[in-house]
Amino acid sequence: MQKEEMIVKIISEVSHFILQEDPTRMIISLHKEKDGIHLAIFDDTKRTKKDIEKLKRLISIGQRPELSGYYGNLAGNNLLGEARLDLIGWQVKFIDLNETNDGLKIDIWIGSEDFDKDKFTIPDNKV
Amino acid sequence: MTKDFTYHILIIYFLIIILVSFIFCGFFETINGFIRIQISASRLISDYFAIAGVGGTLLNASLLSLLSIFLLLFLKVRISGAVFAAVFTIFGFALFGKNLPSILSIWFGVFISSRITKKRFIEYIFIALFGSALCPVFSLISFEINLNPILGFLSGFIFTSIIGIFLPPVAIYMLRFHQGYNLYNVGMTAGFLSIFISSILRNLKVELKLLEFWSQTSSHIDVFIIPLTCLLFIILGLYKNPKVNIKSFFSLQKENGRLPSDFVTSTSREATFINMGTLTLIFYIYVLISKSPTNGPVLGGLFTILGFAAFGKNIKNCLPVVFGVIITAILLKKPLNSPAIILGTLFSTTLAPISGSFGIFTGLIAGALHIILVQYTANWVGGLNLYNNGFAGGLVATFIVSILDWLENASIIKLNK
Repeated sequence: MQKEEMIVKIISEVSHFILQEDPTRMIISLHKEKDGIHLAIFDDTKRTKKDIEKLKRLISIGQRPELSGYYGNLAGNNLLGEARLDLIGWQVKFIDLNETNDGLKIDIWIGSEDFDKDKFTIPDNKV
Repeated sequence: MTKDFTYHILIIYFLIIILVSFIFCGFFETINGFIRIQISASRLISDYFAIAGVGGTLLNASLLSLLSIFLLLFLKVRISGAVFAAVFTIFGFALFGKNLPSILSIWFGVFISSRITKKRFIEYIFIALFGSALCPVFSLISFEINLNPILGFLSGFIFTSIIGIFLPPVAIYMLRFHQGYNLYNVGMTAGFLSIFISSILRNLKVELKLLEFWSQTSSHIDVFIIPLTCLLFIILGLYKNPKVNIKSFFSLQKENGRLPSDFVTSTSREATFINMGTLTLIFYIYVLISKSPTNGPVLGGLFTILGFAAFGKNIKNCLPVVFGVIITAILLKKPLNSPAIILGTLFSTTLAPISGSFGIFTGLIAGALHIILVQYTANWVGGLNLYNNGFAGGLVATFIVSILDWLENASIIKLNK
């Protein structure tokens, strides 16, 4: 239940982030592994290199239990204001962001300490 | 500058304050003052300068700050804006309400809360540090209701620890009310809990009149501690690559400040230091112009601004709210240096994210509503909540956010995001 709530909050915050750019397409894919979860979110909004660099900087802070345990609860609860991917970056095992031909792909891995995204059973090209 | 080096700076800073207290106020007088604080009533407004003198008060504040730093180091918490906010808020409020036994009882309660939910204590550390807003509950039960000293101390510790257990769930939920637009979220949490606590105590016939310890005298230490501290932070921010850091400082002014806005991460440590020093200096000059005393509560307000200038406050988002407060106070013919107004002015900056996110006009309205409300909220809860402005600010932020959200959903306004 706790994990379900976390996934819902993360999907909500990332959806907020994508929808604020008014895309024509958004795809959310979730795959469960034995010890973790992979979320892949795609959109078709073109962003500048500068924007992508800023986003990468925001999400690459790494896990911050001291902040995520308290302020991380704001994720997915935004009524007003900008979506904030850093709230997600603090609480997940790994988050990555890459440009695709159409727009953006955000990969999020949620899992225990043993979870290794590189041993994920679905090949990258099928995600 | 390494992370640990920043912790070292803070440790050295507080050790110097302790040394200065002993040198200028005398060893025995400082120790006596410190002991007096541990057993005195601490509800609003209990200016420890008036109760125990400057030396004992600064010793109390520095020791509690050092204790917080050692706890953060023990838990391996990385330096961030939240660390500065928590440490300097503790220092500031230890000048008028926080003491050693009360703070330990709250921390113990939050620790128990983390054990109950099987979370690591580090996940609740900032709730614990800010949660000491409810310290006056301990001193009320221990020293104000005429219980046997040992029974009083134990009852105070147990009761305050129980409150600490409830702090994390309520604090987390309160964030959702105002959506991060009130920087002192635990103030709102403590105010909410205080409504229950004060009602229980009043039903048990405990009288909860506000206290009025408000020092009017000034000494050299309390006059100079703020400008010297500001200077220190500005120098730390400028000593290496000043041009780059000044540029970052200006880009920091564009941040809206909504919780959690860690300026150390979003800009740079040095730009954050410049912001801390500059913003606090502006408010210190205002304190002097308004002829307010530099007593415990006023210095507490300034130190809280110093800390939160690393975690949400900047010049651009603070000034509209403060102007709203000052204009309203003048219109209501309230003296700008009266306790409620000067404290309301300094702590109204809890609403800085409102002006940072929704513009100057909304900031002015927020400031006006804040000063109207904050004069009465302390009375509602018998002065049990040290972060009275956080409580009032939370109510104002929740009100404004709900109205704006409603208007935006009805397509009546379009907010700049």
